[in-house]
Amino acid sequence: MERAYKARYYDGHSSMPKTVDIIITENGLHITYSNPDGMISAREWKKAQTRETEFNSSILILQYGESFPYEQLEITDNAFHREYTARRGASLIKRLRTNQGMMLVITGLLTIVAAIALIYIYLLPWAVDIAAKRVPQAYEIEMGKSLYENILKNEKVDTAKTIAINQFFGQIQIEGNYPVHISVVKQDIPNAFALPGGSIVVYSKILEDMETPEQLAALLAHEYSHVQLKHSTRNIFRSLAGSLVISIIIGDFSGATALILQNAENLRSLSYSRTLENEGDNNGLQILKANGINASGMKALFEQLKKASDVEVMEIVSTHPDLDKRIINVETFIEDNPYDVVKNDSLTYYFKTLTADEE
Amino acid sequence: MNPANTTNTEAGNNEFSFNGKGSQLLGIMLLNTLLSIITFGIYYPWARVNRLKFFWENAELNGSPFVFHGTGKELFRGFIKVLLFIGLFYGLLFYGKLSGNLTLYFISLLAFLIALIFITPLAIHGAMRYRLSRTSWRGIHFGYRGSRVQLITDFFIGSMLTLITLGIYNSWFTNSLRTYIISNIRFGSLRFGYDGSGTELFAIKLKSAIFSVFTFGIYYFWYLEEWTNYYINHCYVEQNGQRYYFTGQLTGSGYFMLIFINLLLGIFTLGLATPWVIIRTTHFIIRNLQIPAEVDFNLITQTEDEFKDAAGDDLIDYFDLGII
Repeated sequence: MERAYKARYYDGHSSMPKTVDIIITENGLHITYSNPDGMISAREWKKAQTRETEFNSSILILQYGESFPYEQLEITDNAFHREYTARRGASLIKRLRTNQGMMLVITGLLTIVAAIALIYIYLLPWAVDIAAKRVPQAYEIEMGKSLYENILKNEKVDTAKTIAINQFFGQIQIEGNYPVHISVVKQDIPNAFALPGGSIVVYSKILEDMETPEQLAALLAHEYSHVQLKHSTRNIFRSLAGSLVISIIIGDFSGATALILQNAENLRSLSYSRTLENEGDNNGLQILKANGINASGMKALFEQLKKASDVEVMEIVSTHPDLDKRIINVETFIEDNPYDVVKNDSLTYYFKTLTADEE
Repeated sequence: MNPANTTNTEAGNNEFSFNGKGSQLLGIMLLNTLLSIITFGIYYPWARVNRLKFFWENAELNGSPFVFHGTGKELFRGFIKVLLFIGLFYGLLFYGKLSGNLTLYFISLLAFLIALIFITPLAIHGAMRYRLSRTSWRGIHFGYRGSRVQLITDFFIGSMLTLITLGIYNSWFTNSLRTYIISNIRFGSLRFGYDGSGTELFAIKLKSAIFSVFTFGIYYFWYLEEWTNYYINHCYVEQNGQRYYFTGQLTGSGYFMLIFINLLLGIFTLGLATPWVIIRTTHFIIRNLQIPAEVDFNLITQTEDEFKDAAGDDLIDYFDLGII
């Protein structure tokens, strides 16, 4: 036996409600109501032409008709909602708005967030590293040159010290064929950084704090390692790719362009990952060993930097974290790699010219 | 509210309520976000429809909900039209610029600027027609009967006068726009109207400007109270030749509390409370807007035609004009 439900009916011409009885049939709805004169009228609504509202949880509205104006039913009986949904099936929106549907939506959103995070954290650096490793040296040199010009635009280069530091570095035998050029810049911050393709920038403050030529050799060996191992290139690619992806995700394309332009400025404070720093340290230690330079110079360098960072919060603090661990790393290297230290007078000579003419 | 009582509504009992819940709105927003992401944004028009439907279907007058009939397809088509329209004028501008011909450049620039002036009235007109036509209550559709040419002309003259008088004319401009737009709104056989005066609006603004200085801007909320209530109190519904006025019951302190608590909710939940903030605001508006009791909403007859072109509505959304 089919059940009859009470509802309010509007004929599409007037807002006056009529109380009607509705029965859900195979083909649609059967609607009956009594007229003021006592006669019973009936309407048949075909399934295909009946539309329903989706967002009011207590009142369901059904509409019917091929052309405007449309007839309308207002049903508050929850039993009708249940039977109607059971027999007709619910729309996608309605199904997604149930508790299970909402769980699905939230799971979907979390999955997307997780996927983006995974891509960003793992896939992107991996792809960027591969790309960076395949970058031709000529391009690296070209890129490094324009970045160098951009960075040194507003800096004061100490010409005499620049000549001396390059002569100093010329005494050290290195592998790889990057055209190394070191510049000393007058800056009161103990910092040094390497650009892709062979340009290395050393701030005068870090030189002032140095006591032995081994410290400088260690610094340059470390920075050169970043060049040789393409760390600088990888880092720039990585920092750019990440920001570019974020800009593209949030649809900020003008921001992406600006990012590339401003990136040159940010390079000086670009920090390497712990892994890259370790690689840089170890490769630097190998260079020191190959040249017979005392590896304790690197330990002294880190101690010098630690002291500087204790005094003030320096940029170096953020770029070279956990100096203690790196000092231990150097100590382990020295223990494991005993080698004869070769006395190099030229290094001492150039180092003296670098540190002598204060004021 | 008991819907059974509302079948035979008596005069003096016109009840307007909103029953949407914050959790439901949050669900819709999450759903919209998910579907927009996996369709690369194409779902956006459908997402907008979901939100509009949620608000209309949960707004009830005398126990009957409103219905929004617009579809994502209509809004999508409108959006394509808007894109073509914008593309055309930008294309013209770029063509003029790239041609290197100075005369051509100025002509294209002029066409672009004229188009910019027309966009707002065009958008208002289109959005009013579309949105009202696609909104109904008990099967009776709303409608907008204004003329596009008239609105563009009024808008142009009003903007120019406002510019020339350094903004002073703005009160009269706003007032005449309101008068024109509201008096062209129909709800079946009901006609809407507005009879505020520009001079009085100007007086309210002038008073606010003076008081704000002495109260360090706190007076702003009481300015909003006066301004909004003035607006509401001069809106009326005409039935059988009789005018019945709306009543605005907004208070400055109420407005201040609304903004203040919304702000706190936003800050302390890092924006997660947004759906609840929107629902609170909707309740605030509905609570402070009293519908004239004398209107018999059972006696409305269908008078308006159907209108399905959503371009104006999309234009409003695209430029974030926030006028309606």
